[in-house]
Amino acid sequence: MELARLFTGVQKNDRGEFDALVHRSHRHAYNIAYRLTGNHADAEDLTQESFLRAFRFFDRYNREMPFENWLYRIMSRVFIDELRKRPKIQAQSLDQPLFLGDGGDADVLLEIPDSAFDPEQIMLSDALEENLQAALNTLPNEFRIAVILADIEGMCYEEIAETMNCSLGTVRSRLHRGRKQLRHRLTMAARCKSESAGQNSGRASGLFSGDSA
Amino acid sequence: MNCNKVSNLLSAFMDGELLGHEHRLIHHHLQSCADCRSEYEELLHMKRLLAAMRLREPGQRLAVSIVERVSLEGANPAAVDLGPWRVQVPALRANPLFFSPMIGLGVGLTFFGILLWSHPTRPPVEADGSHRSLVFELANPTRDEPPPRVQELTNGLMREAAPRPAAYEPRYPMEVPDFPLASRMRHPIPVRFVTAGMYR
Repeated sequence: MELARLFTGVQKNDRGEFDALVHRSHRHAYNIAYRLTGNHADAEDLTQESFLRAFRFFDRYNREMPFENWLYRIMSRVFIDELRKRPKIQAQSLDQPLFLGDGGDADVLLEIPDSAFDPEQIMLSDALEENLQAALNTLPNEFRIAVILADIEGMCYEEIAETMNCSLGTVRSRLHRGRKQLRHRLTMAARCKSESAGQNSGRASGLFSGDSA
Repeated sequence: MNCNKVSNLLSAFMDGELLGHEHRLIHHHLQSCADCRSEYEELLHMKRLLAAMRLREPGQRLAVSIVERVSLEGANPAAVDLGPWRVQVPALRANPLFFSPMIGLGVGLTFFGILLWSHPTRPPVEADGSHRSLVFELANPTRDEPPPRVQELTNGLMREAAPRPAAYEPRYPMEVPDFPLASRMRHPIPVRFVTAGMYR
């Protein structure tokens, strides 16, 4: 029995602590998982698997590190492992057009909802948020993780480096390139949208002029 | 500082992750360079959009199902029943520190076994007895005892065969029980390295 406990590494009193951590941090963890995977089902799977792995290695958890940071480190590994197993999550390539929605105009992709620039006050439209998520899905895994941890979770570079197990310079480079690629994707999507809108209106006018002739 | 260098530091500048002098340099550059300023504003915009994304809510049962799965893991760790030496398989599988050396040991033993048993049936010996392969030497540690002098039938008369070359004279006469494994393991490997050299 002692041997078994040694191998699982989990003491009885750890269970209570772990359950409390699950209740405290599962919502935030799910949010990060959602931004990583881009859909609800995969996000719940990723969250569950990350917590389960965290439980298995709970004896190695250094209490000086915030639990969420440690969990996100596990989550990014699980995420990359799972993607390797089933590449279908990475369905969207960089060359593929983003989902542009049915209605609305191209400006929605790049709108600045509030120039006061207080993130708390910015309300994104559903279409813009969908496009942002679609653009996130096209980023390479490492860039995506870095951008999500920095801009959605609000971690500093040191925490990201610890979470992703890389140097500060790597974090800096991944973040910069990730943000630039995101911006590029959204700009391209807006351009495609305005071009297709222009073509449609051109075709419609041609049709009408043909009728009148 | 040129625009290319500044461009690479803009993200870190925006996040407040630059050292004091770097921060000041970028700050001054942005005041004078419209291109870099425009790029900076785009990055800033991107960051704000991401920060403004809504917090996604999980299903109501997520926490409960995580705790349930954790309980299952704790209560039924798929233990292999080995009597008093009960070993928990998932923990072993999950622990690379324990598992990797086991794989290494297994591969090593398998390789050594193949090396020992897949030896050639005939020794690749030249006329003077040199160039025995190491594999053969390992598998057949010694042929110290002289080959039996056979009787050859020549012209209807039995006569003794010619003696073997001197290279086959016993160097290390040893009494070894006639037991296959024991005869294979008669000499430890370093000794065979030495004796292989002595056949030359």
